[in-house]
Amino acid sequence: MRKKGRATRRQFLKTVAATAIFPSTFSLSKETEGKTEAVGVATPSSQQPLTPSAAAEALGELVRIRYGRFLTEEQLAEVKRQIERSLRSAERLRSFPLTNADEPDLIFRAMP
Amino acid sequence: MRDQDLAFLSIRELAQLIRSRRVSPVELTQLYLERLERLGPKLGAVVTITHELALAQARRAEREIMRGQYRGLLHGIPYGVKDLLATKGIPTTWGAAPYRNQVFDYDATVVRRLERAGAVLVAKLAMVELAGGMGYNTADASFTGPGRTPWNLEYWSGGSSSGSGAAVAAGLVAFAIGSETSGSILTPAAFCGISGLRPTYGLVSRYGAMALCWTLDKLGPMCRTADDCGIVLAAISGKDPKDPSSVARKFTYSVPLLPTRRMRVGIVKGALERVQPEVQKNFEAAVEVLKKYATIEPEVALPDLPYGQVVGIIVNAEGASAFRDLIESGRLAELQNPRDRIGGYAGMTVLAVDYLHAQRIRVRIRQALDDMLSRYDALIAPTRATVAYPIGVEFERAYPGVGGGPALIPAGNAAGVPALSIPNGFGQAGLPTGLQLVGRAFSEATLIALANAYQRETDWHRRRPPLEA
Repeated sequence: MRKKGRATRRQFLKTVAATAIFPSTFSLSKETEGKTEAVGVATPSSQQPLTPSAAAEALGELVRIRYGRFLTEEQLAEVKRQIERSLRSAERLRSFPLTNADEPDLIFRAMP
Repeated sequence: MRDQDLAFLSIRELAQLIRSRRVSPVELTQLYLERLERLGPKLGAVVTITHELALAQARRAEREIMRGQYRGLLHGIPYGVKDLLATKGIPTTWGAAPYRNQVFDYDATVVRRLERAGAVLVAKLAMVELAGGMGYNTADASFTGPGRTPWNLEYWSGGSSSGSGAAVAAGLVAFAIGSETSGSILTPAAFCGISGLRPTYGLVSRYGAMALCWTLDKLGPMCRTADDCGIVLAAISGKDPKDPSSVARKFTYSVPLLPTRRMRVGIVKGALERVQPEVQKNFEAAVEVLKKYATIEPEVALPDLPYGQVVGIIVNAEGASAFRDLIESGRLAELQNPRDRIGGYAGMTVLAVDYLHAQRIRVRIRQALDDMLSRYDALIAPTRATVAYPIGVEFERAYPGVGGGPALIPAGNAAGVPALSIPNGFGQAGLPTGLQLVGRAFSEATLIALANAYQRETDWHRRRPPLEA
């Protein structure tokens, strides 16, 4: 069994490659949207167990490489599920049509 | 007047007693200090009681008032702040064990402005660790233990401004300052049966406040009445060169505002879907009261936009950046809530393009919500679909099948618009429910006027929890 926090670079790149082939195709359903409330009351999410996609596994490997020494296997598995939820949110956002002219809601000022 | 009665008066009522010298700021401060010491631990509401500072500020207020130098409605009024506001020489813990010995050498702008108004800081109040940014899922998410609503100690006071909500509801302070990134003022206001105002983004300086999410964080008043929220907001609002996000607008408020014309209020479509029966009943009763002052339009649909996802990705990314040092040090492991011990790691993997995509959609959200809100003085909905969650139970398991509905809290926060939660009755287990009013950017006066009218017709804000029975 592989030791916690010891993914090789080759293993990591292999997983990243799989991500490109099998991108996350899930998105949050309309039913769960209203429940995604960060901070005020944590994030009541679906009770259904989430299986991390290849993309979540890949990003989870990044976490393992960088921070695996701080995490148990159980915690790392939960981190991957959280990453999966985040990826599904991002997927839903990507389905929202934007044009090149849509700037982010951030203002940069040259003056100090 | 009995001490117990005095402790539950509104700021405006206390101010009248102080100005007319029927109550001394020092006596009032001592009353609240005693209540903080005696009842604060039961509620898990207090981190630090600021005895020396409070008594010094109270004595100063008393001297000034005796000399006829009355500063205004907050002069001599004791208050507490959520323990994420810097206070010079006093610990500021952010509710989190890794920061329990943190001390700043300056005051947050809000604390400074309240001092200038003559208010008396009596306590740093408990909060969910790191304002909930790491994804907690039970009430036990602070090194001070779970916050408890004074209405039923087996239930949570809400988060992340847990202590601010409980302390106001229990008469431990005359008012408190809370913060909201997405729901952290409104939720404890509803769960504790008080009035909580989330101001427009930028109206109140955040200098000296813990940063969780630079583009979403707001500070606001938590009080026993909507009128009091107006009084406090007037003291803390306005441009601050130390906070570049603050805007050059000052909120002014002195006499209690009431609607000067018939208002137009929309009920958010789906607001009563999957809510607890008492929440529905109380909301419908509140609508009947508001009809005296407003034309009510039912079934106003929120624009179909991904509010929750936008807020979630922004909080995850900005929160991970704000606490990168903590995450990379491995000290997340010291946090109380098991979910908080790992939440930051997922945040570290949010892609920059996804974060920016969320910020690009946010422009559309602001425009769409403003288009809709411009047609109403306020949109209304129950603040929460349920009463407070039981302590010791994961939030998502507390009330199976209940919850959801329109994403008004993330929508309002993504757009940066103001909202006010006021108590509108009680539900199961003797717990309060709340009514949420949301308006256009900088429409705080309108929301307060409508809420004042509601509170003139009802007495939910006058009810006291059975804490000392």
